Amino acid sequence: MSRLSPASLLIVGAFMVPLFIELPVVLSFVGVNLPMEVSLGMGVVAFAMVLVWSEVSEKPEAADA
Amino acid sequence: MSTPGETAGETVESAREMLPDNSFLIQYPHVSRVVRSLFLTAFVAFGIGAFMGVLQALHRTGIARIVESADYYTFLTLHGVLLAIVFTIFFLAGVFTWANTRSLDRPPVSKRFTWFWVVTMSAGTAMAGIAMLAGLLPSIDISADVLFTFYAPLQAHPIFYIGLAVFVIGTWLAGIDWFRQFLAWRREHPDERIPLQSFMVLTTMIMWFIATLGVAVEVVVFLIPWSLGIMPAPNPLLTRTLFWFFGHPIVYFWLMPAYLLWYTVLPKIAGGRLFSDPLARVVFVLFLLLSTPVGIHHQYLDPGIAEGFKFIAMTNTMFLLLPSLLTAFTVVASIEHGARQRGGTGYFGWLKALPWRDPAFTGMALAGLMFAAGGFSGMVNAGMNINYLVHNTLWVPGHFHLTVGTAVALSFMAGAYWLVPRITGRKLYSRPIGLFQVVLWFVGMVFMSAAMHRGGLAGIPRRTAEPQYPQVAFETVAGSVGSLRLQLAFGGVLLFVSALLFLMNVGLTAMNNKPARGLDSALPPALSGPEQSPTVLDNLKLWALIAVVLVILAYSLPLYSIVQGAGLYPAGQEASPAVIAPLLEVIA
Amino acid sequence: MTATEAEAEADSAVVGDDVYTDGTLVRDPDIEESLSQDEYDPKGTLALLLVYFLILALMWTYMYFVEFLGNGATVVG
Repeated sequence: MSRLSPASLLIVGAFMVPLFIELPVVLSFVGVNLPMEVSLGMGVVAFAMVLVWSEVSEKPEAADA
Repeated sequence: MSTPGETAGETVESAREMLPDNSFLIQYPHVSRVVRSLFLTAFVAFGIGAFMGVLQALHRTGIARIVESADYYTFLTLHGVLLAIVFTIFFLAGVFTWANTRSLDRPPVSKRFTWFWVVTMSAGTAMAGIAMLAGLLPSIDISADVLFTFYAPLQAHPIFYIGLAVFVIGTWLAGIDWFRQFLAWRREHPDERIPLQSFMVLTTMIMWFIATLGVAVEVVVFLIPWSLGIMPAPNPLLTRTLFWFFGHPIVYFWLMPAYLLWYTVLPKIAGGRLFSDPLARVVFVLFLLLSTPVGIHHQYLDPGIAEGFKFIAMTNTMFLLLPSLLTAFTVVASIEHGARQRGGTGYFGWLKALPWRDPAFTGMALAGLMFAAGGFSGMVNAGMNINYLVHNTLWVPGHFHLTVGTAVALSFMAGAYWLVPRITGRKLYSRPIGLFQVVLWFVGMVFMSAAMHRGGLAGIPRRTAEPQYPQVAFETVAGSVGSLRLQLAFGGVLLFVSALLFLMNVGLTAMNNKPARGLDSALPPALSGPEQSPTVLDNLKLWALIAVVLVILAYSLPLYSIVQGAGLYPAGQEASPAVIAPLLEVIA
Repeated sequence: MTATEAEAEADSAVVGDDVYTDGTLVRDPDIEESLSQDEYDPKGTLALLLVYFLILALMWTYMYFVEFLGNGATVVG
């Protein structure tokens, strides 16, 4: 049983987009040059990890199922 | 104009009798019909305008040039006017008609008068729309490729200006209608506080009456006689200043209905109550006072206006941040109240208790979040020194796609998911599609707006069909210009898909034969009610008077010096007829 | 009770209190606790706004780099 509903995944994914779009700009101010493509790719990987976590992790209360 | 409710099937008709007696549709079937017809016009304009938008996003980035570059400016004008004037104002007229009727608990005084302003606004829109669309047909000698900022020396066909004038008169009549409705209520309730939604409608309309004086003078006194060939070309700086006299407060004319939804509808959807009614009133009074005497901040780079006047406009603009920050507090505190009532805990944990599955809630919440980001880029625009960095660059469209393009447009779409079932009696066609649609708008806008802001900082110009110059290399903060173009186009496509999903969802709702349920039109009372605020807040005459005085202080000297400087009709002014050939020469 | 209300109740009994009809939540008022003005302390709002002001302050410091180090002089007057 998934931990996150499709709607929750949608919202979580949406909030990750601005983070990974702004990451290269924030890093550029501290002198790190991260290409935009790499940052967005990291975002995709991070979202995939959320998906996997949502599938494999246990629910805190079984009654919620 | 057909109204969706007229084609009601039997299922809805029979179910309509079972709606609760206090549902808006049962109490005010006629007002519901007015709102439906206003929304229909708004959504048709939204569809056409969104299509123009995606064409531009693909064109200026060089991904796909479907139209001639010379026609880009016709599409840009259609995009700006249809979305920023027609979609927004028709939708807000619907929201205001609903809100004023609901909160005063009485219909407008005269049905005939209400339909008269609806028809006036529609006729003006049709005239301006025909002029703009005719620009795409070289065989017709009519065009209006003057962009949303319609000032001299760019010239449109007279039918465009006349249409705009008729449209603005229609909005004035609408405001008069809402005031008559209020005065009729006041006669029966001489000592009561003005209901909050009605208070918001009335303060917004006073602001609009003051603001539109500028555009009325610009269009009626200068642009129409000039385009008819009766009078010589007017002083461009004067028409620019008169345009921005109206062009900044229109921003708040878009925003205040979104605020109305955030203050009154959003707390209910979140399961809470408005935190403070007095704060909401203060915010709307501040917008009435400060919206207009700031327009010169759009003209920081105009020669002919003294730096001191620009400085005054900048100071007023910074004061305008105050009501928006007050709103950030009040609205967030109101939805937090809902989350806590639903069992939310902790400093951030309460966010999980919010109804994120509801497109009406999520749309408005994401709109508010983007507005917070737009607030920052707005501060950059408003500062005289840093404005020079971004003036007329892609940064500026990046900014206003966060504000009007998301804070307002996404709130309107989310509000439609809540309001359309209430004025049609039909169940929303699909809540999951609605949720996906509002989130898609957010994601698309993050891509497009971030790319626009960065492109602007690199110096890429706005309003340009082909901003690719072999002799100039734009330097970006992060990422290449090529990747920014891809992001911009990708975001634009996502936004267009989102717009289509919205129109499809609302269209299918209007034809849905399943009845809507749970249409209680009551809104929960504020935690801190109006009785806790001084009654002077409701003194609309006083605030209108102060607003006029502030406008006179901010504008009389600049206007005097502009007229003294170059006169009303400076010699040697040539019109730039908005026909295709000269533009082609420039590009070739 | 009208048929519509009965239907709504039947729906909520099946799916739980998280039912939406027209974009609005239909909830059982008994499940909710009512929070009065005195009992409610918007500390979450404070936390969110502090985060926002922190971001704003950081962005303003970045403006220094953007304006003064990113480009040449931009004085117009």
